[in-house]
Amino acid sequence: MGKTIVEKVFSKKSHSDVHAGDVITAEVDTIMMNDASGPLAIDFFEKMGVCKVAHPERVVAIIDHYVPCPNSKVAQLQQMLFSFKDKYGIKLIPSGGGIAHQVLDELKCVAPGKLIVGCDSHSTTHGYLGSVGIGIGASDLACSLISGELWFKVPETILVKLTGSLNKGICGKDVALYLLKKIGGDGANYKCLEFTGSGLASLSMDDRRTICNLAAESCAKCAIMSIDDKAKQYMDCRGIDYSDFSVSDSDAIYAKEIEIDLSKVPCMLSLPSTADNAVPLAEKKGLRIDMAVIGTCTNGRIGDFEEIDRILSKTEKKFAVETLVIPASAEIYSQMMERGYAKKLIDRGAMILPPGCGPCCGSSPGTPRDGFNVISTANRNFIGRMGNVNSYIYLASPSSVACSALLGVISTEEDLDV
Amino acid sequence: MFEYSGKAYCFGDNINTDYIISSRRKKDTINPQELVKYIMEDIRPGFSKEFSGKNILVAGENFGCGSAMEVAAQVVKSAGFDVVLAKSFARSFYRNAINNGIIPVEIDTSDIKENDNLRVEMNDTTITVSDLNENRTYTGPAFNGKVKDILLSGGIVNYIKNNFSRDSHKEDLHG
Repeated sequence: MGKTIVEKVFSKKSHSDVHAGDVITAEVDTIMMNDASGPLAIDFFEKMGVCKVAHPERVVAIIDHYVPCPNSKVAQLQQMLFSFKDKYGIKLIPSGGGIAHQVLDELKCVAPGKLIVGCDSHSTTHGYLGSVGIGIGASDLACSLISGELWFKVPETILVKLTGSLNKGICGKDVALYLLKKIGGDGANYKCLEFTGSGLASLSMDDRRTICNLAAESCAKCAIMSIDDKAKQYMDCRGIDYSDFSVSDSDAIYAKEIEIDLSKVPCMLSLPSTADNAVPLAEKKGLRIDMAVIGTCTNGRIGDFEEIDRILSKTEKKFAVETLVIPASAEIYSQMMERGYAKKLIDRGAMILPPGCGPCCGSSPGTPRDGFNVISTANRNFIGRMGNVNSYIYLASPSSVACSALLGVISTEEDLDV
Repeated sequence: MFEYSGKAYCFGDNINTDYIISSRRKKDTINPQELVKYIMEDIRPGFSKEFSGKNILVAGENFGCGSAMEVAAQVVKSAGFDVVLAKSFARSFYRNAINNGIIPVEIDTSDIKENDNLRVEMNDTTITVSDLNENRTYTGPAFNGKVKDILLSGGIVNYIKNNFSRDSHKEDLHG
C-alpha cells in the first residue's frame, strides 16, 4: 500500500512501516518551547521527576510572546527557561530574536523529512519546507524532553491540488483564507494537509509559510508542501540538505482531495471572529478601519515587507490609522533596515515593535481601544484576542492591510489609484 | 470502573482555548487555580461564579480549537469539570485533556440543556452518559490502551511516575 508524505516521515521516525490510524512512538528532531507554554512544560517536567533531558541539543527555548518582558511575574516565568537552559544545556534564544517558528527556520532546524514538535499551535508552519511540524501541549512537550520521543496517531491526509497561478496582487494569505472558507475551522482536525500540483510554482517560499501557518486554523495536525524546483533552489541557496525529502506514492490513500485553481482566488478578508469566516475582500470595501497590524508568524517575513514597500512606493500617503509593524525576527528586521523598508514605514507613520508575537494574542503591547476595527495580517481574530473584547479584528494579506491602513477603510491596491 | 455526576454547563460550537482562558491573563500567573476566575470571561462574563464542586462542561463542535496552550485544559480541570462532553474536540485540546485527567467524551450534545443532571459511567467497553432530566442516555466506546491508563492514573504526570524510572530510560514511556 502506497504512502503519503506524512506516513513516510512517521515510518522513518518510528523505524517501522506505518499508515494513517496507527498509534506509534516516533523520535523527534527538534523540540521547541516558548515563554507562553515553556514554563508550564518545565513545571510538568519537574513534577514527572525524571530530571533528565534525552537530547538537549535538539531542544530550543525561544522568548517570543512577552517581548520585551512586561512585568515581574512574566520575568519569573521567563527566568524558568533561562534556569532550565543552564541546568540542562538546551539552546535559548532570548527576547528580541524573533518568533519561534521563524527562528527555528533561521537556525536551519526546518528541512524535509524532519519531525518538529512545539508547544505552539502554529508549529504547522514548518511544513513549508517538508517538515512535519506539530503543535503540542506542555505535558506532551515535557514527555518529549525526557525521552526524545512522543506518541502520535499517524494522521490521515487531505490532498490539496493547486492548479493555475495567482493573479497580480493576490498572495499566499488569500489562498490560505480561501481554503479555510472552503473547509471550515475544523476541516482538517486530526489530519495533515498536503499541498501539491503545478500551482505550487507560483507561490513564493513566504507564501508557503503563510499557508502552512494558517493550516492550524482548520485544526490541522500538520501541513506539508511538496518539494518542487523552487524549494530545492531555495534550499541550495541556504545550504539546507534536502536529500531526505519524499513524495507521496501514486497509490497513497487520502481522506479527501480538494482542488484549488489559484487564478480564481480573490483578495480575501476574514471577518470577526474566526479565520474561516472569510469573504472576498471586495464585499467589505469601505468599512472603517481604526488600527492596522502588520507582522506575526503569519506575515512578518521579508517577502511580506517587500510587498508592503511596493505598495508604499505607489503613493505618498501616510498611514491614516495607528499602524503597528512587527518583524518576525531580528534577521528580518535587519534586512528591513538594509533595504530601506523600515525607514519608509516609519516616515509614513508606522510604529515598529520588537521582533516577536506582538499584540496578536494580547501578550505584548498594542491593545486596540473600545469599538476599534483592526485590520491585521495575523492568523486569529477571536473575540478579545488582542486583549480587548470590545474591538473587532479583520484578517487580510500584507498588501490589503497596508492599503487599508493608508486609506482608513478596507481597500486593495486598485483603490490607491483613485 | 469510573462514575461521575454533575450539572451540565452548556456552550456552543468552536469554543477556542483563548475563550477558555485569555492569553492576556497569563501575564499575571499560570497557576490554574488562580486563573479559574477568568474562565470563559470573554464569552460568558461572570461564569466562574456560576458553579461550585464537580460538574460537567458540555459543548458543540470543535471544542478547544485554536492555541494548543495546555493551561486551558488545566483551568477546565481546576474549575471542577473532570468531564467534558462535546460533539467533537480539536485535537490539541483532546490530548491535553487526557494528559490532565479530564475525560473528553464525544457524543451528540444537541439535546443536553443547561443545569441538566448528568451521570457518566465508563466500563471496559463503553462510556454511558445519562441525562437524568431528559431521561436520555448516550453511549460511546470506552478508552483503551495507553489513553485509558493515563486517564486512570489521573493524568500524564502520575502515569509517568508510575511507569518510568530514571534507570530504564527508553522504557515504554508513552507508546
